[in-house]
Amino acid sequence: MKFIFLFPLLGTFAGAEVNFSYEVLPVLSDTCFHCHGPDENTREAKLRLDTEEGLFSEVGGTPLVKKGDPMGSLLYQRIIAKDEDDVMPPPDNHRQLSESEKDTIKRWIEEGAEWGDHWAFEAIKAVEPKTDSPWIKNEIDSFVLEKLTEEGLTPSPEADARTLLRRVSLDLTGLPPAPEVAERFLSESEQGDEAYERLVDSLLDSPAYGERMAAVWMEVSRFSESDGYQLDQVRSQYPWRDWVIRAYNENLPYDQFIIEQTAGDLLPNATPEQIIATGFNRNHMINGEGGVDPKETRIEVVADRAETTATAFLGLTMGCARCHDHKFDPITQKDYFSFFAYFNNIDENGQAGHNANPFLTVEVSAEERKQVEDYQANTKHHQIKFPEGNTIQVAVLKDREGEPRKTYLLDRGAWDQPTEEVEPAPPAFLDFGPLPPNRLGLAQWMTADENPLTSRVAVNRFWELFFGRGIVKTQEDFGIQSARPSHPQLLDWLAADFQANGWDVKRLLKQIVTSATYRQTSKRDELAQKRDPENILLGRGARFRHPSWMIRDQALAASGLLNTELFGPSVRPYQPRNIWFTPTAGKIRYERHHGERLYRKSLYTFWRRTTAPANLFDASPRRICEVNVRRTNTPLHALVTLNDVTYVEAARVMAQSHQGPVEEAIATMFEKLLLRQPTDEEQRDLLALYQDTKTHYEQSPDEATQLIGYGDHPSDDSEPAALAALTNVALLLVNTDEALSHQ
Amino acid sequence: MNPLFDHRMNMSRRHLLGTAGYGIGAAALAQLCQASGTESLITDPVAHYAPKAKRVIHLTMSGAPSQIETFDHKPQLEQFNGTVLPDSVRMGQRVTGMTAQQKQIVHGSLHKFQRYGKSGVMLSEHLPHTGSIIDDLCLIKSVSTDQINHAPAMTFMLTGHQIAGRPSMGSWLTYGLGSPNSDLPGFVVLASKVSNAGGQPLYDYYWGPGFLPGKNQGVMLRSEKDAVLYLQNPPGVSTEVRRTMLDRLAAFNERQAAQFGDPEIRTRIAQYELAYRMQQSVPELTDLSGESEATYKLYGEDARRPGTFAANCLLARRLAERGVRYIQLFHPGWDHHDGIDSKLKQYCKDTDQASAALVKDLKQRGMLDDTLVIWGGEFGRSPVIQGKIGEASAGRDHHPRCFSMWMAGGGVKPGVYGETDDFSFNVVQDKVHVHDLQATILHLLGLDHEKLTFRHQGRAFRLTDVHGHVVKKILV
Repeated sequence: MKFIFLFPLLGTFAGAEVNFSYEVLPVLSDTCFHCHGPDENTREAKLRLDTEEGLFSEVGGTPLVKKGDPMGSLLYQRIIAKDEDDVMPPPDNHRQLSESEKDTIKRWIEEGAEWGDHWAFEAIKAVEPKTDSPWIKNEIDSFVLEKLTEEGLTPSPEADARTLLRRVSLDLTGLPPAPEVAERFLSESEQGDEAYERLVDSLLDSPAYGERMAAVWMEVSRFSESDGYQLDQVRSQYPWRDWVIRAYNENLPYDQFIIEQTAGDLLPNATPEQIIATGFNRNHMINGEGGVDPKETRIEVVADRAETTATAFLGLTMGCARCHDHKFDPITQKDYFSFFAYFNNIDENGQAGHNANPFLTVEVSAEERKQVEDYQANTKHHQIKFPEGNTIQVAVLKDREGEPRKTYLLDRGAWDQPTEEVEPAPPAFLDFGPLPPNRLGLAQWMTADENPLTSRVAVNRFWELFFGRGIVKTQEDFGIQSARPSHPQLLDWLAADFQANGWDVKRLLKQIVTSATYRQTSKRDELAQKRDPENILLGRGARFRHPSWMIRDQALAASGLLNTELFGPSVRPYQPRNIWFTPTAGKIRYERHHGERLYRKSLYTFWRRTTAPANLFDASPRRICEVNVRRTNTPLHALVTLNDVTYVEAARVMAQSHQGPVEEAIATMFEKLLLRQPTDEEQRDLLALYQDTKTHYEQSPDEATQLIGYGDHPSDDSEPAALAALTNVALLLVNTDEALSHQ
Repeated sequence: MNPLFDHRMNMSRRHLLGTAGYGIGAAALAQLCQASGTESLITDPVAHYAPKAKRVIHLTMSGAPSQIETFDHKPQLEQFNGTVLPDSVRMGQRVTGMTAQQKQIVHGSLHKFQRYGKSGVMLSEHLPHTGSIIDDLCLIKSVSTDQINHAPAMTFMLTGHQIAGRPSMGSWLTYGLGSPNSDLPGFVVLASKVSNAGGQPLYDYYWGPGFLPGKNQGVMLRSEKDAVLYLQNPPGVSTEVRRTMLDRLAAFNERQAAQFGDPEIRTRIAQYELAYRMQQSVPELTDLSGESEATYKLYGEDARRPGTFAANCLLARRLAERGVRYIQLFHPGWDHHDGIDSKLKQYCKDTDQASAALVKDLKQRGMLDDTLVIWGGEFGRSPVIQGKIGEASAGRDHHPRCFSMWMAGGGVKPGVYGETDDFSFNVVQDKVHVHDLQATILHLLGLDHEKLTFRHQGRAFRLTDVHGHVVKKILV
């Protein structure tokens, strides 16, 4: 519903010729395809408008579309008809055509009614940018400036060094910069681009980079270490998570990233790491409920793999075609089950928990094995079977020996209604050339140069991390119903450049963050707010709230509590009392860790699928693949960052680590968190808060003792009232919009 | 100052349409869009019908109560006791993995039935209180679902789809109608604390917003010290200290808003204020000390113990009084595969009085007319006995084809609707599919289930998917 407001801004083609793919096809799809689209079973009057042949056919001797002659075109006659029996769409249809949409169709016919496929299904065509200006730092800027100029807008100035430092550090590593990194950059920032590039390189080289990127992939891949559903048995799947961190840190090319996760086990001489990578397709939920039929469960997990792969790598809403042909995109039900067939030959039988074969047995240290047993011991009511010795089991993919399992199209998608047999194959409309009919063939098809979707979807997702929205806003859908790209040429240029340069992720991210576009200030004036409230044209830096995991990590880092250890079994940090009571019917208690493990990065928090960690708000629930970023603004989130012991303790530790006059302590905390010095006004406000609350705590010493004793970390009780007051100051800082936001 | 008013004034259309965290309903939204001369793709759902109900209290009996022992009186079934369920009745119905291997031996109700009310409807003798309000109830004996296992069936009942991820009914309603109370969430969830609730955990996605904006999420009120997660100030932070801090924080954020011009900052200021107000309004809500002895007599002594179904029913009335749109109670543990005789008695005892009390209480306060009360589980139970007939351990397996629910108030017509066959196995008259039930609930709230849609993944989604018909015969 949002895109209606984009019309004034997406006037890319305003004044120019109507572009069928971007302007007409989406409208036809949205208003007509439900009855006149790809799904044969709901097609009315045997008429389809989703193919060139259909759209240019004749009905009773009248052409639907007569090039150059709207009034001679039945399509146009019907959409402007006044008679209720004639007008299309019918008056009781939910989606009606607006006057401007009717006009677009009219103009398109007048201009000769040129046909074109949906843009995302057409080959990626890189056009070199034309616009030049001293503002431009790389090609990205050229495309962006061209668009801004068309709209009569100009870019914003570059953000100041400190703002940029905080922005790029959080964006690339999920953390504020280490003090020495910050100091070096600020001392060199006069040197301009070179100093900034050195900063970017050092951030991309830090181990935290891989963790930051993995945090995104955990949501896409619905990673959780429990089954979901009734019994919600736990898994030891963290080696897969660690594989993702390493893959990013080692800058594994993105095509290889796809290949190993999809078919690492089928590679010649597959390494244990490549087999662990296939855990991607084992992160699905699995129903171990007493009454379920394991045959049904098996079908469901295969479907989940097919749909996850389609969403995560291809931006296709494949799931829509499970029960019937897709209503909008040219994906038939047969295509769905042919795609499903790639994942249907796993050596599994629909069992959950410790019987959810196949597994790879992995050698671990005695200490690690103990940790795994410890978090599994939280599920006392399950029959826990551990392998012998210091090993754990990681769920992976492995095909069955011998004859592959046959795949059938399932009537209405029902697991027990097989009809015709199908073979593994990509969707027919995107099939190019013979590839092996197995997962390796699928991976090769996804990463082939000819595939129009994979690299577009990838660069769009990476782009979203830095601008808060993709060039295509509907990350989950690149089909005909998707939002149109704000910068189609930029998207294609990035996608082609990414492919041509070996799918090098670090290189792509460096291009993005060193662009002048990224480096603009996020301040806006009233006119800019009015003209482009969502910053679709990128005439300023992005401003959006950080994900909750980053907000937590930032608070821990600023307090010095953060434990930067990499990898290993998941940990159980602070959570509210009895948090698992309801979702486990009172059977399992959440037992939190003590000591250093409380302060690991959020990435390592144990994730129970039936109850996500309560303080990681707006996270994907990790039940199915979700690529849409949730970014809501509710009072419940305010309560977390104001009251959760995690934040209160971090604030107190921040407060107690500074000696000397209070003015200095305030300024130091401010600098640590926001990387700048407070203004006089801010300093005055914070001092006043300090004084007011200190007076209060002097009169109520018990309250001071309670506050500074909250959390496990030892407190400095030499001056309780002063520390309690300063804790409130630090808590305020953690809760400022500035601290919570990318700006 | 009216923060809500200011907040609305400061919000841009972007926030209204997408990311705002405030309860502004489609009606208000449509109005604002019209006022600014913008076309809106949201059809104003409120315009379609005059709503009968303003709010819903949904008493969700998780685990699936047996209709055979409670509401669906089948004396005819007793003559078949001990015989195999005829194929002509079973008609290929799938059973769960738990009884697939055993003989399908049927048995009539293990509990006695008796007549209640002027209408003389037969109900279990263990439901005397429900019996006392039977003349106010619309008892539907012909509800039918597609799902046979708990989580998928509950997900189907609450979201219209068996796989988790779509918005819950309460989320749809707050999305469509907003919430009149600016100090409390529009969709509130209460769960009975049942220590041995069997295998039906309550997942938070049962009250999740799916793809709708996060503000439409159900908020669980827990019977813990913190009724809402993180509601209490940290130890040693008094209301006064917090207020001082929030005022300074607001000043910071105001300056930020002025400098950056991002309207989201003002939304955040408002949300921090709402959080503060919730800190006052929720404890006031959950403080039952002002309730009269007569009220406790009505709801039962259990209502004095936080976390019981009775205490939650009383809280539900208080939430309804405060205008909360959708109040959902869960009472888990009705999954009586074994020991159904004794367990069901206990479950009736734990829920019967308070359910009836809630309806009576709403009625005496004049609120029943615009409050829709719904009682029921996710599916029914089979006439086939699981285990050995005559033994205390005998129980009943899941059954999707028919089960009983009741509704009261909010524009529904009292009486009995729908009929099942002699085995309480198939619906023989007036089937009410889950999607029909959902369509009817939305209709009672003034919403057209075909028009209350949200665009996601390139298409318009709705609670009833592509199905559902309003059950007109049960409307007043």
